[in-house]
Amino acid sequence: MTEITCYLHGSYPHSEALVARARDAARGRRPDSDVREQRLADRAALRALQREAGLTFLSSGMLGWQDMFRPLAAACPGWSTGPLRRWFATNTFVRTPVVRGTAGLDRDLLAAQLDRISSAGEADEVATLPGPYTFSRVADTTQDRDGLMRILAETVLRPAAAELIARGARVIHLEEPWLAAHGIDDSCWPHLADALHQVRDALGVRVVVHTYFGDAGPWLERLRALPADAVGVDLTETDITVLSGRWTTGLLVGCIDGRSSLVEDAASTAALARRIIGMAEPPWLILSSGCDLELVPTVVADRKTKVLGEAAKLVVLEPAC
Amino acid sequence: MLTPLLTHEVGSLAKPAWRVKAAAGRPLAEADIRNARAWGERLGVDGHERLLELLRQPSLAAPERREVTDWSSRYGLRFFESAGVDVVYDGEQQRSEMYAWAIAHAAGFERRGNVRSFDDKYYAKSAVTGPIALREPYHDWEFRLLHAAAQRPVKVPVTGPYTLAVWSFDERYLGPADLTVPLAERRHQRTAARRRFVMDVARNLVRPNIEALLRLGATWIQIDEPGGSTEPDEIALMAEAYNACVDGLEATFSTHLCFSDYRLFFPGIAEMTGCAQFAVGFANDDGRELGTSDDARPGYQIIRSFRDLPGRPALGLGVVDIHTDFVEPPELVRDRILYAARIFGGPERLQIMPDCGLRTRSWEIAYRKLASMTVGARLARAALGL
Repeated sequence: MTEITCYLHGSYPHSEALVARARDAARGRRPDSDVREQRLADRAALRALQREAGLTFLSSGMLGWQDMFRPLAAACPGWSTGPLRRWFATNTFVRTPVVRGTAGLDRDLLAAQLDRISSAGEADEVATLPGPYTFSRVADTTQDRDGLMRILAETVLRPAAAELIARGARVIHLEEPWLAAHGIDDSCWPHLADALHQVRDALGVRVVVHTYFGDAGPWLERLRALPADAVGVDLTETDITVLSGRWTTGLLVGCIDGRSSLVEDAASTAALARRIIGMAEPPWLILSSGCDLELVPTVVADRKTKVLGEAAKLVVLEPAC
Repeated sequence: MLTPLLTHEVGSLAKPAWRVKAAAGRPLAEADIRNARAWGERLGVDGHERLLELLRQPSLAAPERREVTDWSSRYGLRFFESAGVDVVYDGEQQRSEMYAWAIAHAAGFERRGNVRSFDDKYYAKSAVTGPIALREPYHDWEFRLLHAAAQRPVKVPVTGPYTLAVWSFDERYLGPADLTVPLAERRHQRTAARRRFVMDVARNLVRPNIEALLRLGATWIQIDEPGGSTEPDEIALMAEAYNACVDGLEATFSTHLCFSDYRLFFPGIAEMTGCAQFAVGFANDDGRELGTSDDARPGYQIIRSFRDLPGRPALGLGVVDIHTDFVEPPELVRDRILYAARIFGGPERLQIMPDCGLRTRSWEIAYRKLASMTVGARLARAALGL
């Protein structure tokens, strides 16, 4: 029997109101507090949308995170951020985390970062963090990148996950776009597995390792052997036939295209999910987007979120093909 | 052949508050008027008292708002000229934004909303939904004005076809994806659709707009492709679209690339045979120490690949980082130029520019950066005996 869930991962787009306020604040026409106020309103609206759509776990949409790395880099004494780097094949950019000296996330600093960008009493049930492989490849570092994976996992991602769990997270979602987009050498896999052990062992919540921006097909067998509760694939870049075979780990299917303004059809998405259940028989199936929805405007993302929830409901009602 | 170490602008400047407010019909503060007066005097903008008169009016009718925007262009033009830049424009004061301005003058697109580029910076993204066509030339007005007012040669920046396409959603050439279709077939469909989209933008929108500029007397067109390396396997398509914009036309054509892993552009851009100059940002990745060794200039290692392009095009060397308020000392600019001259075997194929448009900087910082750039170029010329 497959457990069906759905959630949003990563960053959600900013509303038109937030965009307007942020622009005004940047030009000195509004105080920064107006931006914060609107960000909290966006966050509340996103929570309401997810509830209405029937998503299983609520996500913060990372609305206060400048990018996936920034609050983490800011919470690591001695680290800094470098030049803007294109975020894979998109028109979005991140600041490279500059990893120097002894890594170590200061939980108080992270808590201060999170407090700055969220409101009390609202648990984010899905917490997204960069995966150790992607983090180690994006970082500006003089260290061996494979060795860095374990260090990042142990001293940054694990304490960050613990802080997020303390704030209510029930799923830790690790983004690994680099793996699907650029591939991974054979020699890296043991280091990745070791890093994931550091993050996940005795953590107390489920950990999902999600690949996107590329074809997960060539790596699927080894992905399934990683210490994770589920692995994710981006179906806009991956052939569904590679999912065949009995899965013993959970499977996240990125069945909503986070890069297209065309909104998917719930019935077709549900039919696709049923077909995957029939092919893979995973113990846990998560319906989500391939990449996060930040790359489409809010009005599009909202519609896609509703489709996601609706599709999941249809699958729950009638799981068989 | 472009003049060695010629300095030129490369993109947009911030729009003054008085220009933004006037265009939006919002009330101006006294500080806005003081700002217009101070910069008018500092830059030596002839007749700027007329602008001050306009700004003091309680409300502006549409023709007067238009006039304020034109003053903004004159200020932008003098901004570059006064800073000592050799080839100038107006910092794109007439345009809403490099993507939105072009799309607003095109048929076949519908606005979808804002998407974040980085931090709290966003751009309005549209979707192609119908046949693409030029509704009306969209740089003619500004070019006429600047061509008449400029004391130095002008170069017109035009957003490139690949960037316009890749920054848009496609709701016309590629339908909703059927994820049950084999991936290879879906990829083939995507590639074919993207090619049709980009080439339609090149042939039906950008080229006719360039032709209109040439009819007005433009002699140097810079086709901006900041989105050029978005999809690394589409560099050849970007080059093909560039060629479709310029083939058979008489002018100096160059391109601007920025903030990318520039290695991805090779060998694809070698096919841009009509490109006289590649204007590329490098300072963003460079150190701030003086020196002309490889170790001192990490941001410029890639210039060897530009040096070795067939046809020996010039390189517009980005020497000023537009993402920081740090004002590069002239000596640092000089060393960046001297390093490049050494790698290129001389300065003949080098021109000097900021990494990209300075619109995220205040006018004060942007002016100091440009002034430092022009002084640094002079120091380099002296060091090279030019």
